[in-house]
Amino acid sequence: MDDQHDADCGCQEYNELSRRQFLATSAGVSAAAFFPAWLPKIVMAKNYASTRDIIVSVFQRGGADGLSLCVPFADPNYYTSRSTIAIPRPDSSSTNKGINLDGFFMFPQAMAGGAAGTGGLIPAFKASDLLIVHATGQLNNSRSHFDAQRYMEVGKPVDPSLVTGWLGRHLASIPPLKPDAPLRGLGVAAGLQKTLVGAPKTLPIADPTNYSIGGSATTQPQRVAFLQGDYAGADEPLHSAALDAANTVGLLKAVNFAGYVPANGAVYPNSSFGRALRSVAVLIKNDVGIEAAQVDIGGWDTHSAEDPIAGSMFRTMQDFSNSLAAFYADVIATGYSVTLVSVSEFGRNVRENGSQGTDHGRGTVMFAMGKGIVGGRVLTEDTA
Amino acid sequence: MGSPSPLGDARVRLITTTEAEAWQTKEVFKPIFSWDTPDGFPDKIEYWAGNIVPRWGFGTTLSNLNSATTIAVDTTLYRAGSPDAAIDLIDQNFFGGEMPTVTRTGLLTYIKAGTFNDARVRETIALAISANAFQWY
Repeated sequence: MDDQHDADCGCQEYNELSRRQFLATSAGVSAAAFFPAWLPKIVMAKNYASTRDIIVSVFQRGGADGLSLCVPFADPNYYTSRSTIAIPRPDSSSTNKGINLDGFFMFPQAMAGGAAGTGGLIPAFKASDLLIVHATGQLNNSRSHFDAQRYMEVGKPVDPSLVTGWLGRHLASIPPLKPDAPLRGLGVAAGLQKTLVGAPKTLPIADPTNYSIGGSATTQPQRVAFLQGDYAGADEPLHSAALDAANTVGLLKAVNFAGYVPANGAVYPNSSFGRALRSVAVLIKNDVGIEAAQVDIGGWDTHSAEDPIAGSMFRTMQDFSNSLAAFYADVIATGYSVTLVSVSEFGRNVRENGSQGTDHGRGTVMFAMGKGIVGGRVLTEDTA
Repeated sequence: MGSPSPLGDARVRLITTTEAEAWQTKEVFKPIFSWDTPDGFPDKIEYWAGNIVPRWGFGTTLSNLNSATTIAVDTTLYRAGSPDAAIDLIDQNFFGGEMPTVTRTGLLTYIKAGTFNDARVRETIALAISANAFQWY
């Protein structure tokens, strides 16, 4: 699968962000301050001295249409507002009908592994390991991707003075699970996502399977040794960054990414998102000391030709769903203490626009997945 | 351009000739217009410090450029004398004669630890331009 969906449909601002690989200073995730009360339970409620969960944070960049990701088919406003892009009810005769979750909400087939509705995120939902939280977001009127992502990542709206991310502060506030771990946090990106800024021993690594200084493998250890020695007298944070980076080069070199066989027959999509989650899974299972990871998936800015049944939105949801499904089967279902949360900066308007797409809205849908999650439910304002 | 960083970024973009180099450039330098203070280029050393391995890797890429049509790094001059003379030349050409002692000692140790040939000299140049004193001051 290619990543063409990343470039589909986006508005000018989002395309600017995407083209320039919107890096460390970009966007992000949740905040206990303005998210529902369930969030602290999955992120920070564990005893820090115990074997707390590893946090995998996913950011759906572009403003994901929550009403297509988890469809309120029992709400007639959904169908009256979306004359061309609505997904047929699960009790319809359409071959494109959705998969019923609870009598009110349904997954589109892209999120459920196809028409049979037995794949995708369905197994995690049925095992009560997947919680879907609808109508969530931030109390901020901005429709700017940049602003909204930034405030979600730092965890506080409309405060440009806050520069650290919510997950970065989380790691900074707790002792490491493994005291000698060179890499506690990983941002699968070329530059550190804002979510992780402020975290100790945390690096952006675009491709963990190929993290090196290049050149001859034979001489690399000696060259890394030189660099470690040369930076020994550097000021902070350079000194620590160089030491951690050099140690991480050695650490990742020792990890067998290529030969990794996911558990339970899980198959990660060959997309940037799928490969990123696979790399995170490898690191978790190799017990290298990873405590947090940030992974991004783009393609959600669906202003035109959204088409959640066969087009752009379908492909993005399918990549998202199949990647999370593989991670669930491979890591979470096998008992690893991992909690995954996935959010977007905002949702889309209920009413479709004249281009068979949807424009920037407010609330969207969040996902939380893990053995510590009381899932198998779709939370709304009424049920939260 | 508001600071030396965009200028350097633009110059390096001009000389990149392959997809791999372009990707590495993108990792090493911040893409323009990423809109953070003060002018799209983070003024926090923490950001750049987190990007240290790609910077080191970029040194390796640059020192190994050997294109017949675009850019080639010719090490002949550096291999004309002794390893000590090579380090002296690197000091003059890359550090303006102000290479720190710790860097000189480390480079000398490295260049003398293997056969004094083209590959070793290229690696030594890569290390020199990855050194703390070259990259950060």
